[in-house]
Amino acid sequence: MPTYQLSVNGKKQSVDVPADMPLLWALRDVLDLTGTKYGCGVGSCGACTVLLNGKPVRSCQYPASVCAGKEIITIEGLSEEGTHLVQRAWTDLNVPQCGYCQSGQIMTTVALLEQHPQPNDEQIDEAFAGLVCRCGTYARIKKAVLRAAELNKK
Amino acid sequence: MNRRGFIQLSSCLSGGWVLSQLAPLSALANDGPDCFQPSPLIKLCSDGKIIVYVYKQEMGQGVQTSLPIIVAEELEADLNNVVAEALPYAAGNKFNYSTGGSTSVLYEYTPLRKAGAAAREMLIAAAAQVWGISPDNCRAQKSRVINTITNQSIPYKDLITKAAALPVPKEPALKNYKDFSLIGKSGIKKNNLKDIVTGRMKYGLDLKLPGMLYAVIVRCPVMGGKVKSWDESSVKNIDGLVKLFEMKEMGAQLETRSGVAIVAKTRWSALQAQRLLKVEWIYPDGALTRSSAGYFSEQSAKLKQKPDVVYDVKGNVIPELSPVTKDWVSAGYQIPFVAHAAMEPLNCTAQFKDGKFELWGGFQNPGKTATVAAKYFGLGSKDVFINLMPLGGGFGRRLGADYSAEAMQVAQQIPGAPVQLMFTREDDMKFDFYRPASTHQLSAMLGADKRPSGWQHKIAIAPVADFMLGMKGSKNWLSMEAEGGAYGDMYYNIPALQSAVTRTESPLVEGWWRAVNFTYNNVVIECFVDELAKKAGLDPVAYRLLLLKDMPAGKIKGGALYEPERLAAVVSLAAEKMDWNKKRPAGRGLGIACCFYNHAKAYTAHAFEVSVSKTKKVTIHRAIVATDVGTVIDVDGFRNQVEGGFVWGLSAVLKSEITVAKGAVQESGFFDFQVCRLPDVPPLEIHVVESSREPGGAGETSVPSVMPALINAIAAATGERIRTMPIKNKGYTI
Repeated sequence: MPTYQLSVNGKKQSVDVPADMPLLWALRDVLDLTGTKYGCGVGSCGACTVLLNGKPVRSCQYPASVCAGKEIITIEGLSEEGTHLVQRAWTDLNVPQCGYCQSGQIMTTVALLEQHPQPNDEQIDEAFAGLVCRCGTYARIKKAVLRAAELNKK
Repeated sequence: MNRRGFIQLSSCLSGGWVLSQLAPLSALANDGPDCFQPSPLIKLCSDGKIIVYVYKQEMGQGVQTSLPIIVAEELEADLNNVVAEALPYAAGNKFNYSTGGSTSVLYEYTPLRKAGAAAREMLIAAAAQVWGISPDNCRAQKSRVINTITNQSIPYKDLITKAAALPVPKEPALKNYKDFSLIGKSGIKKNNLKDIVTGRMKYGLDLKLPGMLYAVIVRCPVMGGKVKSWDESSVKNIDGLVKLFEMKEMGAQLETRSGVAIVAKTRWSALQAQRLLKVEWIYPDGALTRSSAGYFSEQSAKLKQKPDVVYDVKGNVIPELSPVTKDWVSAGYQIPFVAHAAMEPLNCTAQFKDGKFELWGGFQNPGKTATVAAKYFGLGSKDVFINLMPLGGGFGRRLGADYSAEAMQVAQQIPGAPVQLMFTREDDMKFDFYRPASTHQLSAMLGADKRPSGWQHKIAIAPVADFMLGMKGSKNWLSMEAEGGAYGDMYYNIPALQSAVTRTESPLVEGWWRAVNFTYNNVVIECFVDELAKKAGLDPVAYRLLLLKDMPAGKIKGGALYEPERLAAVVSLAAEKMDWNKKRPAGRGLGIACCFYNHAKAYTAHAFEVSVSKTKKVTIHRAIVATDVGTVIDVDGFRNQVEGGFVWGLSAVLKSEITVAKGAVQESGFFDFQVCRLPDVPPLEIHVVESSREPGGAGETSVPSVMPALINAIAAATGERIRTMPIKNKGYTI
């Protein structure tokens, strides 16, 4: 099996996986980073969103081999104690219900604020159009995005 | 220290091999803090920690927050000291782990208060002993007992040993509503919030055990079909496959399919093999001719025949069950199959060792796995140990034991190894226990006062109990499908009523779906009432209040006390907040609907203001909910449920539908089974009636009235009365 060097949350790690194994399963099953969730496997729910060189991607759609040498950031890479400003906003707004999709929602927000530090409604809609929260926490997600943007100013 | 607290616990949780693994007993180890346990659900320790054990399953509805709040309120505990832990499942203990019907707070409120109050009285008595004063001169606050004479105080953690030696009071005094400091107060955060935002929360699919194998199943796409053969050469290029074998159907209540299990060393190998494996099936006669369109035709035809159950007969009703005169208003409605589609696809990890099973995962009803699934293997409930993990969504789907039973069947083939069975999203979508499809014919005649002088509701449906309870053929369970207004529980004051239910044979397995039968019966009644209001020439709000007038309060079928004035109050509140009588710009339409959700003793009304473009794009200008569930425990958690129920209802009315062709489900993911996403959802204005009544439930109560309220608003804006869901089938988008 080929070996790939993955840089995950600033740490370089070798993984021995088939070239076509999606990054999602390399993260979860090989590197034990289970904060990134499987929701559909076909890029239509966003639960597996991670940052690849700063861009939000569906980790179920990127073979691990393609991600070698790129910077991967997962939910575990934000902060262990929930102190990242997006995590703080999520905590302030008490966003989650079951919580399963929230890693993807949070990583999407991190990428959105990177691109648009003060996003408007259209930018938020565009960023989240591909994500599903079946519990229906959308109103809180939106408020938390705006709260994070506020925290971003300070 | 005195161990009688633990002795009490042991007698509550009857014996068995699982006991040694129970978390509460692990504290028996000699090192660590001294603890006392005045109830199996509360443990106070000398390190200051107060553990509340929760036997209801956390699936996002917040039981690990709301139930500990109830205990902490009576215990006068500082919430910062309180830790919620899932009570491990133990066969034969007295607790009802089954979590559904929005009943957790409703049923646990009083027992949990008593448990907290008993512990508080023991701690106060212990402190009173220390000071040599009467307990009347003590009070408790923030995990301390205070001497009201001297203002000295002792923290609970220093009273553990003394309190443990005291008897547990049988009838402790409960606090008054006005003295609550936690219940009904805002600002309390979700219990597991930090674990969620850091990605540390472990769901079933996150479990990894030493030596664990991965399994998926290729299931027969058609109900009742069987494996004929499979071609192992189709997966010969996949590394790491451990075993392929046939999966047997497991019969009533489990409703698993015939199929081929693939067990592999890695998940990726198993998933690849699932895609490639060629399987031939034998289909039952006629199964391939079944479709959802055909099923609706069957239901419509059945409605014209003699019903199986005639129900709810009151007053002078029509003899022939078919309205004949032109004075009758009559309308037919169709409600589709829908999937639960929780974000965490179904999964269960199982290990078969020494003739017994150990399971890991998220289950709304672990008891069903421990009884019904165990029985399939000739085992008793004590032969199955279940590790309960948080659920990545439930919505009724995880009340089933099909996925755990399948995991057990797989694990039995590979004794000793833990095996994680996962459903892909496609599996989860295609092998759901779907909300039933139903067809309704509603008819009414208006009297001189414009109220219906006669009302008839005919329903064609296959009852959920056929599948979830193995009750095929039961008339009693068939009639229960009329609940939500046609089961002797009509909530409007109508002098002559008749309802009738006719059984149809479902092409799909069915299950309970968030807000169950109210998502069809209440929905169509609320639409039809709007049709009647129009016929009567009356405003929909005024008409509802007219129909609620002089409706007597009383117990309705199912046992809940129905208080019509509370329903009228939420209708009025929603209308008032909407400025219902204010003149709107041309093209705007207002819609309202209400629901008495009897399972949870809850009253809800939704109101919408919409406009609709020429291309049938719906713009929701305002959405309002008014709700009365009695005492609210966790204010912000409750609001989150109301927001989520709104989105759930919106998805169902706008977009979601499961269709059948050639006997098989056609949808396979979120790209074709559509649900609302963030841009679809307008802000919701929430108005909660403040109340000191006993609490009702939250999870489902705010779902049903969303759907008819939106349909009614669209009818008001466009003049088009929609009688099928989802409304995307009529060309409407959001």
